Amino acid sequence: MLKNITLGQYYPADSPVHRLDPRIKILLTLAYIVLVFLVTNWLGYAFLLMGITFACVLSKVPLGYLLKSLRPLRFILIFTFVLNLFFTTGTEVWLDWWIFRITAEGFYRASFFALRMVFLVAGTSMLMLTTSPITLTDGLERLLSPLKVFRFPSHELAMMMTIALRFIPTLLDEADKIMKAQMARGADFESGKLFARAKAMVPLMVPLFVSSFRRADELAMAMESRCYHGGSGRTRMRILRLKWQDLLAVVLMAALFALTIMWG
Amino acid sequence: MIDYQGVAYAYSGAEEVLRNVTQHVNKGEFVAVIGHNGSGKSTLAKLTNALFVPTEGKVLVDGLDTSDKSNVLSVRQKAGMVFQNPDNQMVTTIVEEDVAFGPENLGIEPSEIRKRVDSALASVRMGKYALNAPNNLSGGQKQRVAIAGILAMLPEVIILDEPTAMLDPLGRKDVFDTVRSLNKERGITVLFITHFMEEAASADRVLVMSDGEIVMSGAPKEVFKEEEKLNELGLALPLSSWLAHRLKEAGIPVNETTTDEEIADELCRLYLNT
Repeated sequence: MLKNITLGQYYPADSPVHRLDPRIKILLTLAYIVLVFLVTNWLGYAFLLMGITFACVLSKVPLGYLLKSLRPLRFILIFTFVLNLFFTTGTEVWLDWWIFRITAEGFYRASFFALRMVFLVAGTSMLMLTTSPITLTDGLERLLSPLKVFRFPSHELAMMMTIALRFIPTLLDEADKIMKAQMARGADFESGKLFARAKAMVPLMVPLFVSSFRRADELAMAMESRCYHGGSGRTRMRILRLKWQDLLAVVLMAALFALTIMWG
Repeated sequence: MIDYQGVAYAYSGAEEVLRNVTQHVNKGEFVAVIGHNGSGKSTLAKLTNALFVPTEGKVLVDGLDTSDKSNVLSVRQKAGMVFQNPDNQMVTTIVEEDVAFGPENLGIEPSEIRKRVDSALASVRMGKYALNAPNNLSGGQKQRVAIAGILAMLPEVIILDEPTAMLDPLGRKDVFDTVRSLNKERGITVLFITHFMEEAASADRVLVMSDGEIVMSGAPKEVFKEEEKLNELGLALPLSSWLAHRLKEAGIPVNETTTDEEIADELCRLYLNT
C-alpha cells in the first residue's frame, strides 16, 4: 500500500537534457518562469510551446509523462477558468442569463490565465523529470553557497534534504512493517470514516516516530565518527563543470527570451 | 596502536559502565571483544573512536590522546568505526557518494577522493554496485559499503561494533571474511566486537568483558579452554571448542581447537592414528 509512492517525478534516461549541469537547469527554469509571466499574447505562448516541446523531445521524456504532471492541477485550472469566465466584464456579450454573463473578453482572459498555469507547471515538471533529486540537491547547494556570506545555511539545508531523501524509502519500509504487525493484531487501517481512519494511524505513527528518533541518533553518531564537522573545510568528490552544452542551453533560452519579449 | 591506560567511563550522573581498562592492541592485530549485553563492549569501541571521552584514564590511538579536542579528526581518520545497523550509517542515496562521505569531510582533493572510492569499493567487492541506491542492497552488502566508507579514509585501525548482529548467516560470513582479509593483506588493525563465538575464534586475540571490565585476554585457544569461567559469564563456547571438550571428557585425546577446520583436522589425525 505504501510502496507505490514514487519519489519526485524523475524519469531516468540518458539525454542531453539529463546531462545538463543542475545549476544551469535550475537557473534556466527560473528564467522560464519569469518568461511565462512576461507573455502578453498568443504568439508568446506559441514560442513557449515550441521551447518546451523541443526540450521534451530532446530529453526523451514521453510527452505523456509531461501531461500527467498537469493532472493534479486540473481542479485549480477549472476553478480559475470558470472564475475568470464569469467575472470578467466586457462589451461583446455571448451569454446573459440570470446573474451569469459570459463575454468574449472573459473567455479570452480565462483561457489566457489557464494556459499560463499550464506552461508554468510544464516547465518546472521538465526540471523535475530530467533531474534526479540528489543532483537537484547538489545543484541547489552550490547555487545557494554564495549566500553563506549572509549566514544562509546552504550546506546544512542540502545535507538535510539528502538525508531526508536517503531515509524516505527506509521509513516507508518500516511503516509498512509496523502496519502489518498492527494488522496481524487486529488493527484496521482501511475502513471507517475519515476521523476513525486518522485515529487508527496513531498506533502506526507513534512507533514510527520513536524509531526515527533512534535512527537520527545513530546516524548522527555514524556521521560524526566519519569526521563530519559541518560544511567548512569539506570538499566534494563530484565537481560540477560547465560544458559547451550548458552554454548552448543558455543561448537557446536567451533566444526564446528575446523572441517572446519582442513579439510575445 | 591502541593504548587504554586505566580507562573508566560513566554516562553523566550514572554509574560507571567501564572501569579500570588497561590494555594494549598491537599494530596489525585482529582483536575480538566478546561479552554479554551491557558488559561495556560498545562503550569501549566508542572510546576508541573519540565519540566518548574517558572520565578517567587515557585512550591513545597511534600515540594521539582522544581527550584532546584538536586530535579528534585525526583519531577518527586513523580509527574508523563501523556500526551495528547498516541502515543507520549511510548518509546519501548513492553508494559511491556514501563511500566518498568520509574523505569529503577530511577535505581531500576531488580526484584523489575518486581514486580512493574506486579502490575501496573494489576491495570490498562492491565495485559494480557503485551507482546503486543503498536501500536496494542486502544487509551484508550494506555493511561492506560501510567498511568501504571507512577504507576510503585510509585508516590504520577499523573498529567494528557488532557489524554482523543484524545479518543473515551468509551476510555474516561475507562481512567477517572481508574484514579478516583486510587485516591479513593490508595489516589493518581490527577491533571486532561480536557476540558470535565462531567469529571470535578466528581472531588473533580475544578480550572477554564483563560488567565493565576486561576479565580475560588471550589467544582464542587459551580463552576458550576455560569453559566454566565463560559459562559463569553467560558466554557459550564455539561449537568446535565445545565438541573438543566433550570428546576429552569421554577420554579421547583431542587437542584444544577453536575453529571448524581445526576440529576436523584433529579428528582426521586421531582417526588415521588408530
